[in-house]
Amino acid sequence: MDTLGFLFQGFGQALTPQNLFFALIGSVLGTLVGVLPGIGPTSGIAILLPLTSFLPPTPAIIMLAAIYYGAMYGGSTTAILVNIPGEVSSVVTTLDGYQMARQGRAGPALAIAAISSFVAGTLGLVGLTFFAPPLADVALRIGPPEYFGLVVLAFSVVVSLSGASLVKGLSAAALGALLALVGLDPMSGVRRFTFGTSTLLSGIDFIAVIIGLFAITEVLVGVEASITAVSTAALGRLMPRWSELRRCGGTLLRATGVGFFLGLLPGCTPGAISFISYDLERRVSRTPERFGRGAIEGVAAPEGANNATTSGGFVPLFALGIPATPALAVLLSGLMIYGLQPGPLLFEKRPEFVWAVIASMYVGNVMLLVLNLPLVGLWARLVRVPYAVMAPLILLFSVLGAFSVRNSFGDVGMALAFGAVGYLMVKLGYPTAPLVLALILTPMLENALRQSLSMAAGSPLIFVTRPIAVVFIGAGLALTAWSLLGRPRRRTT
Amino acid sequence: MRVRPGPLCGAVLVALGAVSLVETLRIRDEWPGAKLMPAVLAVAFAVLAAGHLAPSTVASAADRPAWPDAPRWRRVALVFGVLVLYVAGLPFLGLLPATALFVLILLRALGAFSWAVTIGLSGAIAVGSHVVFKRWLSMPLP
Repeated sequence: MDTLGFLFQGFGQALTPQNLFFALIGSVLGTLVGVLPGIGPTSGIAILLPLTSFLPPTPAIIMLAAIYYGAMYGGSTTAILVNIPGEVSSVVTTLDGYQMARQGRAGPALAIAAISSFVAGTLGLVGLTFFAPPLADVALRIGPPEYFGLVVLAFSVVVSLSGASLVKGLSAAALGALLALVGLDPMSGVRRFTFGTSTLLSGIDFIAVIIGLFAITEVLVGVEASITAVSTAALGRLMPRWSELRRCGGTLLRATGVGFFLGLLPGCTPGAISFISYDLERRVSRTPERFGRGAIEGVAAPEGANNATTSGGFVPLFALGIPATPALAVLLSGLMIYGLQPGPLLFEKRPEFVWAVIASMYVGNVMLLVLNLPLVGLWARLVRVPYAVMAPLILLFSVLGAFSVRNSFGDVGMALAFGAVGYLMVKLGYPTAPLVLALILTPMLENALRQSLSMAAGSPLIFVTRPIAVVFIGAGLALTAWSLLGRPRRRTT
Repeated sequence: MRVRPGPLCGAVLVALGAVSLVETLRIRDEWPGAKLMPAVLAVAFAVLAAGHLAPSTVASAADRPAWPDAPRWRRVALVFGVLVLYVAGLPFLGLLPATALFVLILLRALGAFSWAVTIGLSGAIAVGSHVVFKRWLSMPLP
């Protein structure tokens, strides 16, 4: 069967009442996660991941994926209305979006954000549909050394997630790697870092770690900052003028190209890419002086790019099993919980699952357009919910989410401990995302490394004699160098 | 509070490196085998700890820790303390009363709501979580 045949079959699955329902729930939750400052898609997926264990894999992953791309839609709402980005990827949207709101044009700014998100997100999905299967075919021919190279490439994300201090980012990643090794070694069966206790034999549950580091930490930081409710500006008329929509046509195509192709690369987070897209738009504009003063293209470019990036990020996730962002790393762990190993064989062994999820993303994008265009006033009102109500709710979901993984209060305790660790990390300027990424990637890295060395009787030369492995490792080093060179200009990512 | 995070965190990394080194020596497996990654981590922690001793690598102006003042510390400590007590009390009190109490205390501490609103919200959230998690999702909660 060809790609379109599989896609139509996927639509058959995605349009069943159950899958439609969970795509809608995910889209609503994703928009909510995006709208509310203080909770991001990574923590949103982490909290809800254990709760989806009651569902079959297809609706569960459809819902979690919808939370991820839905958050990209919702992140612009507070960025435009109150100059507070709901997500890192919406930071640059504040530059022109908030200026438009101050000029009484919040409605057109929100509308162009939703339209850009829909167009670029859908075009990105077309790319995902036609790029992922051939990539998976190629990936079927790679062995452990090449896979090791791929994971090295994925690890290059750590540099761009490190913030102002590379040493701190790498330290966080090293801690994540150490935590990943706790428990029984799956290859030899020996105990590692268990300190003689049996409770650590099954390892540290990464969902508890993620809930602690993201959800609980975010609440503690929010409580410290004394976040209260945020008021909103008037929306004005909703739709942009026809001339403005025409002007944004080229912007959207460029944003889609930048977002999708850079989104394929590990290390290119939606936050970084929205900056690149905004910068590109300002450079090609005949009137660059309008940017920063309420230019509608200044909203369309970053919002389009970050949605195309989310679609692009699913290509290496599904085809190679490599997450490009921390949120996708959590989604990857969700797939593993269901015994689904993302990678080239997923397209061969579980085509009905992969294509149902991809088709559901097309459907989800339409749902999100409806949720974010006519209902934008409703979301704008939601940001007025007092933080005093939001904080206990997030903590409650965190506790119950951590408990539900293995029905264990030990995991809840672990989540609390990592909540405190995460808060201290934030206060000391240590990024938490590299820790999570290393926690998830280290077992893959170790397996590929040890299998490769076994193949070559212990010789590391195997990594330089296999051309594809050399290309992946070289690309990882090049991306690391690129991220290092670009660091001073991209501190916010 | 004045804290010099560089050396302090460097000391933590030295300790983690030492733990990794001990594990590398303790594990009885063929080289590289199961001891490869702990060995790599021991070296990595040593290098990163050394990196923490160079102030420019960890203490740029934009990166300096911003410690909260005393009232904010108290708020954070209160919320975290209540959370710990909630988790500790959950097996004994049960989901419904423990959650109602937990939400009530946090609403009083963080918000400026009347008692009627506070009690109403606490009850609604507790009953809602009981219905969703215990009844619908059949989670084996106390």
